[in-house]
Amino acid sequence: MAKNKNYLSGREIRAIAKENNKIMKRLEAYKNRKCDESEYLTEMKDNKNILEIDSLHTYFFTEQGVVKAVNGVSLNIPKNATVGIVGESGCGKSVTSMSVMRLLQGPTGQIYSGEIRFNAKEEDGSEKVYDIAKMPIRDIHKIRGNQIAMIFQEPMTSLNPVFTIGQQLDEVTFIHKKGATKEDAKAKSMEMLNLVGIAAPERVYAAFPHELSGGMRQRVMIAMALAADPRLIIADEPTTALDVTIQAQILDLLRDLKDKIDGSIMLITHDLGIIAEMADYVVVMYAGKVIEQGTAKEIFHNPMHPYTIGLQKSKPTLKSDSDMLFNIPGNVPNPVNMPSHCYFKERCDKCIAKCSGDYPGMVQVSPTHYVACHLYSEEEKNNG
Amino acid sequence: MNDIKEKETNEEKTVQEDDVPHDKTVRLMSPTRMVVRRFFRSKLSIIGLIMVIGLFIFSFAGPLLYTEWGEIELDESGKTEYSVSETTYTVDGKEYTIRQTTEKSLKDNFLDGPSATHILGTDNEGYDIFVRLMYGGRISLTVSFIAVFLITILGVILGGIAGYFGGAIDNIIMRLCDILICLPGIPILLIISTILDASEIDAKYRIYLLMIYLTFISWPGTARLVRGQILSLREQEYMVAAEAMGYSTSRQIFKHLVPNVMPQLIVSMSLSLGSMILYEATLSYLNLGVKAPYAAWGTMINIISTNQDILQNHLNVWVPAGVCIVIAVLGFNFIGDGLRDALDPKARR
Amino acid sequence: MADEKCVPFDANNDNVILEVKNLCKSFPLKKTITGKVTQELIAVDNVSFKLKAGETLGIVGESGCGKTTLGRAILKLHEPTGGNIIFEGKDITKYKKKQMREIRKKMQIIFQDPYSSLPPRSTVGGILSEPVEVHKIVPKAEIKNYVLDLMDKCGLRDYYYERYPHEFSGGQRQRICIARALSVNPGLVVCDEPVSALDVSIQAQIINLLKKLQEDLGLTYIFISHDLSVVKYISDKIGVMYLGSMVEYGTKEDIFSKPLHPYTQALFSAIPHPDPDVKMNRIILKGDIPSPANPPKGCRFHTRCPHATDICKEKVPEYKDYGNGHCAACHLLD
Repeated sequence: MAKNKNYLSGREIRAIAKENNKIMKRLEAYKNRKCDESEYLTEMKDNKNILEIDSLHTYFFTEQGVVKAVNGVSLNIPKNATVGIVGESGCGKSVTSMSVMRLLQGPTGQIYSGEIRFNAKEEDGSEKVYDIAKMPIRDIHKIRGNQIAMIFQEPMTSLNPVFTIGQQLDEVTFIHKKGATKEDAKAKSMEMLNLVGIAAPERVYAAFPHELSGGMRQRVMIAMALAADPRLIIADEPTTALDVTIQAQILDLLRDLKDKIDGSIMLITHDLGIIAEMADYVVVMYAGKVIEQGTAKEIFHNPMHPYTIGLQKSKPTLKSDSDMLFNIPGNVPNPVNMPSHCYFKERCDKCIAKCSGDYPGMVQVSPTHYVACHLYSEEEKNNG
Repeated sequence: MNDIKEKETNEEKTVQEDDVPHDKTVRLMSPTRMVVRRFFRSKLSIIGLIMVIGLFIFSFAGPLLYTEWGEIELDESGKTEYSVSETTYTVDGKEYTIRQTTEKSLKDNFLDGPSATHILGTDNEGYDIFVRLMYGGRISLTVSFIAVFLITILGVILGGIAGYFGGAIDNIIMRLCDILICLPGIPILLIISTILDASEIDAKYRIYLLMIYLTFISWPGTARLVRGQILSLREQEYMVAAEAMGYSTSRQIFKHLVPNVMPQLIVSMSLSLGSMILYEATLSYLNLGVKAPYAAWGTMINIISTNQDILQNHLNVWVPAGVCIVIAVLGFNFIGDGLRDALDPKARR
Repeated sequence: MADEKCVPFDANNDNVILEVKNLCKSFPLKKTITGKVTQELIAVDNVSFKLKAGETLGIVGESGCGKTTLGRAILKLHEPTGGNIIFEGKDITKYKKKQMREIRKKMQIIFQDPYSSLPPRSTVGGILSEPVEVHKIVPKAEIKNYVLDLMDKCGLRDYYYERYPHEFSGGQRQRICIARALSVNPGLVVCDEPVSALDVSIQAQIINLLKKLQEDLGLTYIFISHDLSVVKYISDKIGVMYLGSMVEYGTKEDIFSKPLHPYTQALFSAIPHPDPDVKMNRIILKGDIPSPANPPKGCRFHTRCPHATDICKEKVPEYKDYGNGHCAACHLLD
């Protein structure tokens, strides 16, 4: 093995592995423990919210070191609202949603600390608040799928190719509605297919996934997510794999559904355009942290964090006339061994002396608008 | 500070940006190290490695260190065999037994039990079993390595050609593979062995000739593997890029395709080493391979066919050879499995 | 169908680096036992255009419209089944593989996926010096300096030379791909969706890099993308493709100020605008893109066109010049 100072040495690798195994073992045991429901019942901070994420840390314990994919994320999803999470690849937006669904790939991916409070509706109509981060994995079926549903990016691979659409849709009803008959399930499935704007539901019901186009499959995925009447739908890049004209159809459908269903949507995407069209509230993430959040109007009309501003300027639009695109220099920092100062410092064009210090805290600029940047902290305002 | 550069106009930065100071401090694991780590994570592959290395030292370094006996050196220390005969006479109603012991002096010390002079005893001819085990290992390991090497070369060339060019060439090579796979191996081996017997080839070399035949009927497996890999690699964009770069065909195949088939090849090589050792043992056992007085593990087990008594009462004659075969085959299979897990990133947990 | 007189562009042919005449490419789907093709997929159907040196042609379309096939057919990575490709005045359509190798250094391609388009087992230095060595661009002793110079031009640090592609992010890998394509000093570069796999902020870097390199080295680009807003920043001319054929072609200004074809209009309105207050009057196309293996009769677009009439279902519209080299194929314009 050639000595290369860019690479980790054997001793370092062993040290990392030892450290990781210790933590992974502990977290894995915690995940698989048996416990009473009372241990993870909790209270909502604000009863208007359906989901509250409080300083969530999700780490991946890789052989090259700990990747802090989600590093202290706090956000709220109000009832009947659409919250858009936007950021570039590797910013932790998908990992956040995976943490909420508890779909992280163990043993490397673990929720390290933090709370995910979810307001679940019991069958009798009463509300119960669970802390998803504390729930043992064997109890997760209480909410996964029926209370929180997910729409994935890849409509091509998210459906099982050996069953018909009907079988897969009916299954959702069978699992989540106790005592449902075949007729009930089919009726529900047809209702869902109609809801997502499929013109010939009978034909689609009997079809196999490979007989459908990408746009149709994504509609079916949406129908499956809706079939259990979830309180929260997590849509992870629902249109990224689709063509622009098909994307327009799906977005149109989602916007339409927003008003029809009684639930909230957590929309994860890298496309600012989609966020602008769909979301009520926007959360901007960068390198595992929330850097700015507010209502859609605030974020798009009055972006404050230099990253948000840069992101909006670098998106090519049909309207602008300039010849050269604005670009944010540099790359997203490597997630292992993050610096202690602001992660965006090296790419920021508004750097001040303070940026070399601690990571900036969240600054409230309006009742709904928060930004994590030293430029807007109290002292700066006083100076300026 | 770097800030000066950062404060330059945006246009300048497009070309000269790219690199945050942070980037330099990031250290990754080298690809080789990653493979080595994943290999050693599995206990089975470590056991396999120890087994195989142990066998190698035993077979190749053993005869150099332990020189008491040679491979075809008979223990001529002699053995005295006593036979007892009893004769009974009846004289005046009384029985008299006369026991007579005849002492027969034999030239060779055969079927001796384990002792200080012969660690594992001697076989039915008077050869030292421990030493013959080492020499047998040499034959088995060399022969299987040569065979696997030949199979791989043939497989890579023919599979590579079939996979890269496709069309009629592919068709011809693959149908040839099908035909070879249809051939019944053992009957043809018997025929070839008879021919070799007739043409009086030195007992030492006939096993190599048989292994060449084995190579000839075994390459289709490797060729199919290589062809399949190349078919999928050929669709990769870096191969289209190599074509767009205007590289010659041989450069494309041997500099860009074959190195990327190597991981799968190494795995299949280590797995087929095990099966080649088994093949060699089978041949020797059937008396088709290495013939007495030369040693091979298979030949050593074959001794049981000469005498029922050895099978029952002289376990030291044939069990050690069997154990060696099991260790070798298991060892190579463990290594092969370990390598597959280490080299295939998709197989990661 | 396009004919000679309708090939857009001005009469001055002096500067034309590439001319594509009625290019067709089809892939056989079903064959009889004698090798006769009974069903085929027409990926590119009668596409014609001319490209002047130093210009950029943007090709826009959705998946399955044949834009990638067109790009590869121009480089003869797919053997065209009809039409002509005239590159630098030479008809290269019938060139054999060997003859093409010489042309290769004059026309290059950059791929969409920066992960699969770099060989995983060579260093960046190895990847970039191999083409220089094969085509003998500079003497052997100068290769390293030449490569380092090239890396500098593409915004790659010199210490990357010894590193492997897997250590880099998507944006840096795409820079390596660009450097590799430019290492042989090509005149024409086909960029096949070079930014669609990248993040927004990195996309902008790559587009700006491509523009700067074009200015410095006088490159000609064919820029393929599914995103009209990206194409706008880099193109001089834009061609819109649908199901294998060019439905509209014109200068950037013409296409953006007055799109003629209903499909182009729909494409424009489909792009989400990053402003929550702008509620666009969106044209939502119904249905899915038909399979190119079984395209509809008449105008290919009639199944999804909001303005389709009876004639659209029967007659293929003619690809005509509607002034100033702005061509389109639609019955509505007659």
